[in-house]
Amino acid sequence: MKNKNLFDYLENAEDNDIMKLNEKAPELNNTQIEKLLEMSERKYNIKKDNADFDEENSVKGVEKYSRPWLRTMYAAASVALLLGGAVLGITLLHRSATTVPNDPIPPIIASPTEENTQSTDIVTSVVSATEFTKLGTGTGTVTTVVEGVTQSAVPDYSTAAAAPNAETNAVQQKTAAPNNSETQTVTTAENGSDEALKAKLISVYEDYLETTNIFSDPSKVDFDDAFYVTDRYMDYSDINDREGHVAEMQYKYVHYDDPRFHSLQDIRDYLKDPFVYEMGGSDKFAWYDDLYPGRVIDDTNNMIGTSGGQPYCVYDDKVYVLSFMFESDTPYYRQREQLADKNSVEIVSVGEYEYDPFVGYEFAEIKCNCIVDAYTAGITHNVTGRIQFLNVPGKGWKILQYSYEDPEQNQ
Amino acid sequence: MTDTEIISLMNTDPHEGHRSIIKEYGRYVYTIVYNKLRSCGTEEDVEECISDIFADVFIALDKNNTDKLKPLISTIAKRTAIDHYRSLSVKTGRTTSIDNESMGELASDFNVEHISDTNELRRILLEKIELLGEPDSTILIQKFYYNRKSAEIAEAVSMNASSVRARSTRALQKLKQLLTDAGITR
Repeated sequence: MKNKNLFDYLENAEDNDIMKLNEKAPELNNTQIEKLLEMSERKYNIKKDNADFDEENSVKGVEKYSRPWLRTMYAAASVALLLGGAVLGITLLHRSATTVPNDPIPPIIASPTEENTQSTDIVTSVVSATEFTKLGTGTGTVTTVVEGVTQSAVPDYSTAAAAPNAETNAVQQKTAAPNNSETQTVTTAENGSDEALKAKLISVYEDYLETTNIFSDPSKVDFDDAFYVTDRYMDYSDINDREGHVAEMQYKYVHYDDPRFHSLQDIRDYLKDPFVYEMGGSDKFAWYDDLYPGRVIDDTNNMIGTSGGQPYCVYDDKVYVLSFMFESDTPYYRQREQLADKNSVEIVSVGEYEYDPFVGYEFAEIKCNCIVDAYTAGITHNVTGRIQFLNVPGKGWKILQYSYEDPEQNQ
Repeated sequence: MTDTEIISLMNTDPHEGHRSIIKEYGRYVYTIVYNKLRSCGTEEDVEECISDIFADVFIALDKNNTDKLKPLISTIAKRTAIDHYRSLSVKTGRTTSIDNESMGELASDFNVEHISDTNELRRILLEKIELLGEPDSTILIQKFYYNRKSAEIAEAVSMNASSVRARSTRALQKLKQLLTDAGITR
């Protein structure tokens, strides 16, 4: 029995679900729009011409017929005559009949109509899908320790040796029901005022910006000293059968001359990891130590964190960085961003505790405005960022995920 | 553009009006058509169906005055998609001629229980996908439902292709865990 793709269940959806799918649907580009316009108008013109032709050669209307009134009179008279005759006949029959108590008039029995009925065996349709079965809800309790985060001043990152924020350890114990449909409000240690929390979250976000913008001075790039690394990976199209095709992408590295860094460890020591340490071994700093010209990285088993495209490498005792940071014609372009205005940052919500098997901690979501350098477009414009933070025990606030809304992309 | 503006443009410049309709509603129509033809048609079939829909929409707008385009487009889209589905199903052998000797033995594949279970599963699946947040939910839908390539998705969510791949794998693991916690497994 063939395994059914989980996402096949989204087919033949109802109106509400169609609207949800519409939100995630890919946008039509100008080429597709023009093609559809050309096809549609061609069919429109054909249909319109056919409609005009049919209009000229069609027969319409009904010939009016007026029934002569005398015929109605004759029909009424016939009915009256028949009824009168029937009543007279029944009356005469009743008068002449003798009483025979044991000989009732046998009822008229209609002859049965023979029907050709075929008994059909009910054949259950062949279910080609793998049946999904519902299990009962789980039981058990989970005890989680969460460390609170106190207020702290926004750190100064003007020097590379800036110290991380100090955090106190106010420990609270809480239990969480495993049924993830329930939420619990958790009282943690003081986060201080909203402004203090905002300052803390902004500093975490700025750690992320520092990570992406560490090598951002084009004057330090030697474009003539470059090499390519190939990333070979499996582009999956079916989540269950793991069907897909092997695809390749080439990454170009260019030499970046920065006196601060001579090794990957120098870069690791400098950078702070603002992201949640996720399950699956996706250590943000788990870079290849041996990238070299012409290397082919076989990532067809799609292991997280070991694919090509890492931002930095060291070869021949020199630091190299991905060229997309400086070139707008690479297929893997990336936007470099900086926070436009700290005052524009607003905390959308400080989340309630929700049990989550992966990250069962408090989270806050901040919305902020950023200036984005869009390399492919070569322009600078504002976009709105939406970032989710998590309070991770022992590590403080970390970024869970982020996205940007670019209003110009929807025009 | 609003519907009123589009209709007004149709009166002054029909060609531009047609283009505006497709720009405004093309994605919506694509969603409806793809949802119906995904299992039996190719991308070319989807394009043919969409162009048939818009041709009928243009014809309908010539004949009728309306200030609400979405209900009209929605109705035409659903019906046309069903027509195309039936037409494509003939080719894939899902239907049989009434003259076929085995016709009398064929039972209806309309299974109320199966449809009810599928609808419930779809609702739960979409709910759990939404819980993943952005951009993961968009990445999963575009990759495994709309069958787009990582590079195409990367452009849509402003990431690079390797990040899209990594995120899709992680998001899928999370989704499967969420479904398991909801009591749905295989």
